[in-house]
Order: sequence, then structure tokens, then C-alpha cells
Amino acid sequence: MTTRERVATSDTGLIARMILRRVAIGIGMLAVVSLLVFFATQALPGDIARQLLGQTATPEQLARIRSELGLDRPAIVQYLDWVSGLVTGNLGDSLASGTPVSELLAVRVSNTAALVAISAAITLPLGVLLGTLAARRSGSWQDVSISSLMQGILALPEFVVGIVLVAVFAGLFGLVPPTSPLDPREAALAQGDLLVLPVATMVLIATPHLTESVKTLVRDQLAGDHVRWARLSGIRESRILGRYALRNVAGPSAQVGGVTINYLLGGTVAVEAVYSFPGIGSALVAAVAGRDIVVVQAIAMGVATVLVVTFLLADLIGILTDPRLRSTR
Amino acid sequence: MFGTTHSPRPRGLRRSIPIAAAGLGFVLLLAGCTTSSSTDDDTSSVLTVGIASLSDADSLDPAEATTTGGYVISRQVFDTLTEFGPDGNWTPQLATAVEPGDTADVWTVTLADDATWSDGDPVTADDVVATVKRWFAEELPPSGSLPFIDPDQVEAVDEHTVKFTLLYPTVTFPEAFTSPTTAIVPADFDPAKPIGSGPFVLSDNDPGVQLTFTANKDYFRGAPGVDELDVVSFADATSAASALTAGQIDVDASVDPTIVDVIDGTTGYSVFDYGTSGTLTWVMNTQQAPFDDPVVRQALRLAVDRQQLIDQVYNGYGTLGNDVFNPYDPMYDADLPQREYDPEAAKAMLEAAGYTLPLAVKLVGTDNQPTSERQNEVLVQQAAAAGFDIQYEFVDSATFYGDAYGTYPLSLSFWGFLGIFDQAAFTITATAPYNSSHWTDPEYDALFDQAIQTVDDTERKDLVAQMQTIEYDSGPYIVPMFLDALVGLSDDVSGATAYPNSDGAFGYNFRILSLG
Repeated sequence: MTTRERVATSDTGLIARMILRRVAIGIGMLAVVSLLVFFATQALPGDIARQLLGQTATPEQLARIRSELGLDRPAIVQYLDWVSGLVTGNLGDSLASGTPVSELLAVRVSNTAALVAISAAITLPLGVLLGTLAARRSGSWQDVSISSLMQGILALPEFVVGIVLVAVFAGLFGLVPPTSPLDPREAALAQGDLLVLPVATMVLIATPHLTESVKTLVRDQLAGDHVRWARLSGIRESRILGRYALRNVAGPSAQVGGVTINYLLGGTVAVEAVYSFPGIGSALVAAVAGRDIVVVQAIAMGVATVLVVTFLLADLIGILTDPRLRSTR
Repeated sequence: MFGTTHSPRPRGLRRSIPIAAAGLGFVLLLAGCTTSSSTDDDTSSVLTVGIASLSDADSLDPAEATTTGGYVISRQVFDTLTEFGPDGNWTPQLATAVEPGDTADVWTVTLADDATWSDGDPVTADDVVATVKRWFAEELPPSGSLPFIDPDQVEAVDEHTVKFTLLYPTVTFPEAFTSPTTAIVPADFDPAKPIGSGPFVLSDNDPGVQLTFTANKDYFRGAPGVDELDVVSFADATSAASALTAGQIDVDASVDPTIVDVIDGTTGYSVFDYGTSGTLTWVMNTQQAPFDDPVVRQALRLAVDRQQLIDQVYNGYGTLGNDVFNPYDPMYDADLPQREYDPEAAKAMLEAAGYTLPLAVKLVGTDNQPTSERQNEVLVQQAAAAGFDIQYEFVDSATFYGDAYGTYPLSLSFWGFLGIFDQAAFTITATAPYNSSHWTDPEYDALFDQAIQTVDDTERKDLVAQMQTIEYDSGPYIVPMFLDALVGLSDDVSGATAYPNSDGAFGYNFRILSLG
């Protein structure tokens, strides 16, 4: 076994231990999140029985619905029941419709997954490209134009971006439909025209953050001693960027990419509302308003799990691309 | 790290360029696909209705319907014995006749003999009896709204005749069966697989997103005007209106009054407008100061500039209210003088009664209708001129109907679409289950008890006039105006008809609409 092979083997063991450690932390985080989510939803004023019956509630009808739904049991019993369901993959039944949550949200999850995946597939390379271009020469026309454009978009809330896009592309030019009520009987990707504006909004709101972060990372690298030495050695600028700057930012960029996906997921709440897009963002808003706490809990746990896994993957990419991160701590 | 010589191009950048290009290309590709996704084949007509909003609480069991979507399902899939027709009066639906005995405590319902369930079986008297008994056995909501029914005294006389012997005489018996919650279901009803007798069959249900109905070609009152009905959920009125004028939907079930002109100004689209008995009414809690004092109640009624409210909030689409319910009920007392805005008189009344002005009052509201918040804000402004200092608190719907419901000094409720007697039985009499004003008046209750047993129309109208006079003089509700139904339509849609006494666009009777 050569020295290089021995180092690789010990590296593999180290990486495996680091991954296991992070998975364990992730599971611990999800357990804490489950407590927070459950007791936060319990603390919401009013309940589904009140919300269903509204002004036609009578004490008898309220009691009937609460007893049917098991809401009259102690909170701790309800929590343990819910968590034991989660562990076995059972998200529970919607309080409002009695439908299993997994069935209720299936179409919405695939719609939102399509929205976030397409948006990420555009945003991640676009942000890296723009950030790198802006970082190459501080104060150049690329830097100034990209940075001012990104700052301008950053200043706008999601719904304003959405309304402007609707007004211009749907209203003024009539190119695309202004709302996106996806037909649940068809796959989201088969309804491409309805995805254009939501995806464009998501890309517009997420790209500036990523661009700014990548710009800072690359610029820090380009200002580093190793790049100065490379320049002094007469190495071409394009090679310096690829070999000495970008390679070193791969790990931190993966982290920033994770943050971007997190940001895109959060953006679905506003974007889905603006376009009447049937996804989990709009389902969450409706479930909170309707006090369907089983649905709220399922979505919150689902999103938390996706985030934990995303950051785990980002960590992993960081570890694999940067040996300096391979410590047991 | 220094000194390696291969890899002449910056690797990261080189990799990201094609990916970014592919991504942008994909966007352009998507932008190019602007053909409508809902292209239909030539032979079937699909009517798409946008509604704000469907919810996963939309019940497939009509007896448990409490939401817009639940009512939509009930109206398409099932039939009620009677309905409020286009003239606002009740007419038979699944029943062909609903007739009282001499004293209105025995009623005989004759069913249409050609009505069938969607599985082909005939609708029989046994189904009606089973439906009614189920409400009471399972304590479903209709059991609370039909207190005069004795479930043990509902019997099938023959295959198409049902006899109801009531606990006490009730002349409004036929109206009580107009609500979509009282739809008739088969004796072996399974809410999970709803089989109805209605104009459509629910063929696909994605809760909170879309309801798809297929026409029941054998519907006993004639097949609906279209082959398929898609009811699509929109987050709010504005996005539904955008979808209408972009051709994504054919009907926008509820247009905000402020965007009527935009739709009317768009070629190919218009708004169908009709008056209704629906109202957003301010409820004054008579168990608390200051509204325990009838003087304060009358003063606040004078402090509302009703016409200005209609103009400001409803863009002129509405009719004046006079603090009593339902102008579409034949018993409505139209002779009561229209209450006028008179802040000076209100102020004088309050001062004469010893109040120090401004009189502080708390108003609690929610978004029970899209215009609720605007209506509350206008009240705050208008009442200030009459010496009221109204502190308005907006809460979300679940909070509003939470434990504090019924304790608010002043609040805004959505009512109407009920005959005068049902409105009184639900919200005004001492035993009314939904009377959040807690107002009681023995004289009013005595008149109600007498009127509901009076078969003679003229005598009953006189009694109702006395009831409405009491409401007008000292009642707990401010009924400032009646809402218009505003339905956005593509010019391709025909058959629109007013249903003034039913909630929702055309009372959600989408069977009347055709395309082309």
C-alpha cells in the first residue's frame, strides 16, 4: 500500500465517521423541530372545529367534531401518537377531510418539487456565473452592472416581482398565462406554460443572494496570497480563476447552494400565493388558516427534513472537495 | 499546488456556462409553449369555473358542508327537496309538491318519480326518510337547523310520498329544505364514495385544488349544459379575475366589486350582476355596555352612511339595507321608512342619554368575506362623526370564531340567504343557536311563535311586519346593505340566471350554464 493509498483509506474512515455524526445531528434537530412544530400548532388560537363550523358552531357540534378527531385527548398523548406515526412513515390523516396527508399532498409535493428543482437548476449555475463574472475585476462594467441589477431585485419583495412579471409578460405581451392553477390530473412538467412565471419569479428572487455570496467568495480568493503568487509567476488570469480561486470556493459554494435551495423553498409560500399555484407552500398557508394542524405538522416536518438533507449534502460536498474540512470536529 | 501545468481553462467556469445556458434555454422553451393546457377535443364541452377558494375541508357529505367547495359539491352531486328559485321564492326540486295539512304540523312531500341515483337506482321515499333519520342519529348540523322535525315521525307513505309529523306547526317547512346541507342522499350513503341524484357526478377530487364533475346525462330535470365542469381554486379574487380575462377560466364565481369595470372593459368578458339577500351585518352584543342600551344601538345605526358605504366599498354594487333581513322574502316589510345617515341626531341621542363623547367601542372583525375589512374600516370613519370612537381589531378567521366568539362588543357577520323565519330562528329569537348578539325580546319571540304557525299569508305578513318593526326599533343587528352577486363570464357562456336567495354564483347551480 502506497502512502497515498493509506491516506485515502484513513480519509474514507474519517469521512464515514463525519457523515454519521452529521446524520445523528440531523436526526436530533428533527426531533427538536417536531416538538417545536407540534406545540406551536397547539398554541394557535381557535381550532379546526371552530373553523369548520364558524358562526354556526354550537357546543354540541364542537364537542362532536373534537371527539371524532381525537382533539379532546391530552396534548402529550396526541404528540406521542403523532411522533410514533412519523417514525413509521405515517403522516396522519387530514383533520379537515380525513384523507391521509400523504395522499392529500402527493400532487402538491410533486408540483412544488418541480417548481423548486427547475428554479434551482437555473438559479445555481446562473448565480455562480454572475457572481464569478462580477468578482473577476472589481469595479469593471460587468461588476457594476451585475451588482446594481442584483441589488435592485433584492430590494423588491417576492410578490412585487411576481406582479411585475405578470403585468409585463402576461398582461402587456400576453405571452404566458397570468395564473398557474395546475391541473392535478396532469404532471407539472406537462404544463410548462403554467410554470414559466412562477419559475421566473423564483429565479429572480433567489439569484441575487447567490450571486452576491459567490462574488464575495471568489473575490476573497482572488485577493489571497496564493493568487498573488500565481500572478507573480506569470500564470494566465483564466487559469488563476479556475485553478486557484474557483476550486477553493467549491466547498463554501455548496453551502451557499444549500442556503439558496432553502431560500427557494421558503419563496414557494409567496410565489404559490401570487400565482394560485397548487403546491405545498399554498397548502401550508391554507392549513394554518384552516387549523388543519396535522397537515401543518406534516408540511413543516417535510420541509425541515429536506433542509437537513440538503445541508448534509452540502457539507458532504465541502468535505470531499476540501481536505482542510476533514477534521473530526 | 503551484506548478501543475495541465488544465488550460478555468474548470469551474467552463462547467457552469453550459448548465446556465441550458437553464436559460429551458426558460425560453417554456415561454414558447403558450398554447392553452386545457385544449379539449371537439366533441366534449368543458366549463371551467374559478373559485376563491377550495379547501381540504370541502366535505363530500352534504350534511357536513360548511365551506364554499362543500356547497359546490352538494349542488352538483345532490338535490335538495326544495330550492330558492330565480325569483327568490322556494320551488320544488327533488320534490314535485310540498303540502301542509290544515295546521302546518303535518306536511306531505311528493317526490319526482323519474329521479334516479347516479348508479341507476330510483330515488325513493325510503331514501328521504333515511337521510332525515341520519341527521338526527349522527347529530349532523341539519339536526340543529330543523328543530321542528321529529325523526321518529317521518314515514314513507308509498314509494314517492313522505309524511312529516312535526313537533309543532311550522309554515316555513318547505324553505328549510333549500340549504345544500339538507341534500337528500341514498339510504346506504357512503360519504367516501358519494352517490347522488344531482346534475353532475364527482369524477375527480383533488382537495383544495380542483373538483372535476362529469355531466349526469340522465338528470331528471334535464342534462346540464356542458359535459364536464372543472371547479378550480384561486388564492384570491384578483388572480381569478386575471385568469378569466386571460382565457384560463370561463367563469369567475366571485368578482371583487372594485375590478368589475376592468372585466367589463375587456373585450369578450363581462360581469353578470344581481342583487341578493346576503349581507355583512354588524352584530351588537346586548349583554355588554354600551350596546345593552337600545339608545346606543339606535345611535350607531344612524351613524352609518349606507349609500356612501355601497359606493366606497362596493363600487355602487349593492342595495340599501334597513336593519331587517331579506328583501327577497315575500313577507319582507318594505313599508318601514329607510333609515338615513344622521350623525348629529346620533350624537344628540347619546348626549341626552348621559354618555360622554366620544364613546369608545371595540369592533372585532375577520375576512369572512373579501370586503369585510374595508366595510369595517368605513364604519370606523363614519361613526366618528356621530361621537363613536371605534377601535377596530382584525383577527384571522379561526381566531375570530375561537373561544372569544360571542363575547365581542361589536363584530361583523356574514348572513342572509335565509328566509325571514329561518334567519330569526338561527340568529334572533331567544332560542336561536347562532345568536351572538344575545338579544332577547319576549314580545318578538311570541310574535315569531304565532307567525310560524299561521297558515294564512295575509295574517302572517302582518305578524312578520310587527316582528320587523321590533327589530327596526331596538334589534341587535345593523343591516347596512345587501350584497350583489358579481360573476365574471366569458362571452362564450350562456344561461346565467339570478338566484337572489342562494349563496354563491347562481346559487352554485352550474348546470344552467352552456358554452358556445
